[in-house]
Amino acid sequence: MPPIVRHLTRALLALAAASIAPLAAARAQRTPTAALDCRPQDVRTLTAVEIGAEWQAYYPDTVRARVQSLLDAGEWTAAMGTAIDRARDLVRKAPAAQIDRYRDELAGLERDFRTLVALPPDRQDRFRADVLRAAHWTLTQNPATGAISLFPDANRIAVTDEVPSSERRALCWPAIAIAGLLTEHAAPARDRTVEILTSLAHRWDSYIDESYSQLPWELALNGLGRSRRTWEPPGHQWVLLHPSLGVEVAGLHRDDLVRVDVAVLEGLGFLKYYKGYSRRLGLTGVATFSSDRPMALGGYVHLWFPQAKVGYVDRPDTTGKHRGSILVSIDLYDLLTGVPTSLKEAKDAALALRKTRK
Amino acid sequence: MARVLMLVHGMGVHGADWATDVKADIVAAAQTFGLDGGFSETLDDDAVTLVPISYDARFRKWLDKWGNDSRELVSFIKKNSIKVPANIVGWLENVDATENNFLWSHVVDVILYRFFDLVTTDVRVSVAKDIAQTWRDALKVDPQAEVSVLAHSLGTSVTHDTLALLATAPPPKATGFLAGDRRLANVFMVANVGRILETSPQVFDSVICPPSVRANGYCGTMFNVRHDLDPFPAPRPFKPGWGGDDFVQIRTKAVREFNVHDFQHYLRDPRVHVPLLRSLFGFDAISPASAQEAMDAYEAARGSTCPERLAAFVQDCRQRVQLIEDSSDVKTLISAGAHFLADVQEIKAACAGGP
Repeated sequence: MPPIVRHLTRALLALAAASIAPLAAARAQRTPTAALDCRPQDVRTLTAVEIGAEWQAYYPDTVRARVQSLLDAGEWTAAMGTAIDRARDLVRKAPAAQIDRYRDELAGLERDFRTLVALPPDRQDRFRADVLRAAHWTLTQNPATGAISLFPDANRIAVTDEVPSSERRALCWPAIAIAGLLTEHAAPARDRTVEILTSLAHRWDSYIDESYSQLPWELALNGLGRSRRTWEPPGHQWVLLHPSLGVEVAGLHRDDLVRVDVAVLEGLGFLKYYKGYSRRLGLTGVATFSSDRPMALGGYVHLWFPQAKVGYVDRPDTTGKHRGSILVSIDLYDLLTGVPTSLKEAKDAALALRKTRK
Repeated sequence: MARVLMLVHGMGVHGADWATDVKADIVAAAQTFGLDGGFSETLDDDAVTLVPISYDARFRKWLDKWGNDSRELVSFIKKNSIKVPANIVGWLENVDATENNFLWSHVVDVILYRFFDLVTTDVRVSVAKDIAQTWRDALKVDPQAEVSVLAHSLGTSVTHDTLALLATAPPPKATGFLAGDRRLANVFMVANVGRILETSPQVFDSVICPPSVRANGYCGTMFNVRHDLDPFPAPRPFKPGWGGDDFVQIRTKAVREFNVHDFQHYLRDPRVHVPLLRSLFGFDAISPASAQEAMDAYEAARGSTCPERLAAFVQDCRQRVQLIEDSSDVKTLISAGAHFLADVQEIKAACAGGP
């Protein structure tokens, strides 16, 4: 059973039980305390007998049940109006010194809530937080004394065991009912927020998984200048002193091309991401190092597919002349050299199949 | 009524089941006062649910990526005796070596969170998503649900920063948990390093405070918990001049384990778990007499099986805390913390081998 239905059922049962309250009066009742009258989790445990018939209409679950049909029809102003009317009724029983302040709070809430529901949806959240201040209606418990605080700011109302039970209820029950309604009204905003944050977290996953790897100094560099309040992962990336592996295809003529495995150091470069980090394009300056040749200098182009790098480097030979080489990343080299092998294997397999059929 | 306590871990490696022991300690503490029946594994409108919030996987993700990319390169460079221009081989080799490196695993988390803005934001997004989801779900189960947070060590800084942004400067249109509209019931900051690691917003100026400090304070009550011998919360300690009774400073001093920074060591102390349980089950759930009895029993209980070493260790810790108290340098935190953890490991090993 959904919790909200459970609460409504509980309220209806309490209402029914209240009519036979005198019969049940013999049942043990707890001594009312500030917590039992004011702490929402304790208020909810009150039995019909403990609530009492005269209080039943003001019991927070009863108020919530009363406005259910209005909420079903989307009549939020009327629903809140009903809760406020009940609150005004009840507040008359509050301590005399608090009545005027409480009435002012209710008047302000009624005015602000009307304004809130008239606002376009994209302005409602800020208004609810900055003007209406929904959290203002949430009760808190003093950690040192157990007293309940109402309107817990600098001018809070403290509800203690010394305050008569009827006055405690008059102060707390309206606040509990109103806080619940305000919470429910903001439910779509919370759903939207969770959706946005989930989507944002996925983009960060993609960024880490798909983007070109960053070593610590690059990670520091790429974080520079970002506002601490920027939530999105970056759409570009600087490359700085980034080591990797590569293959140079070197030689003077087509017939004497040789493969040279090299360590590559990308000195400085810039990449731009597209399509959620699955595509990128960029340019970096590189130096390559091998065990038996001098250092070569050149550049890399970062390709969006298949996320590989291809470039050109140049180094002096023993005669002082400069010789160029094609430079590719290991993954691209494996892909390119793997194609003929794959084709040959496919051809061999096909021939073998043909022979078998013969 | 539904009550949810989100548990946020501190620095170091935290696997998927990191919260199992923490939860067990909280339930065991509740058992002392007959409250252990009030917990539920799933969100329930009439029980307390303990929900772990983890961010360590984000650090590991970044480190793993460094490691995977680096290992192949290092192997190649060594195999071919290639002279690279800088001695980066050692760096690359050990960059993700956290599993077997206790100190590095703690230190690297602090460094990554504080100094690498991309990692900082990634961690905050992940934690914001988990907190918002838990909070939203709790309010779906029960609109009156009380949602609280218990954070430890680095988790205090992560929690502060994330909540402050969620409350005042969330991503566009993600405005479902703004300060003024929503408020957590309680925030417990244990071994708080929020101030030494603070960036923007700063911890004394943000909305992560109780309503007596700022009307739009993001928690009904705030508890700041610190052990006298714990070096981590010592530099730039969290000592605001807040006077309201909805802000509670808890100082503990009992030593039952050498690692007084440990989350569970804190939670086992009644000076910590009594206010925690009262915040979940109500102030009257634990009588003042029962609370005092638990505290007295804990103070009187025997601690380490290695009393002589413990006495010397306590003396060392006291001196260390005095030295770094009020330092404002993050390096002090990292250095003192690393030395402390190294000492704990060393003394534990020595004790295991006999006094």
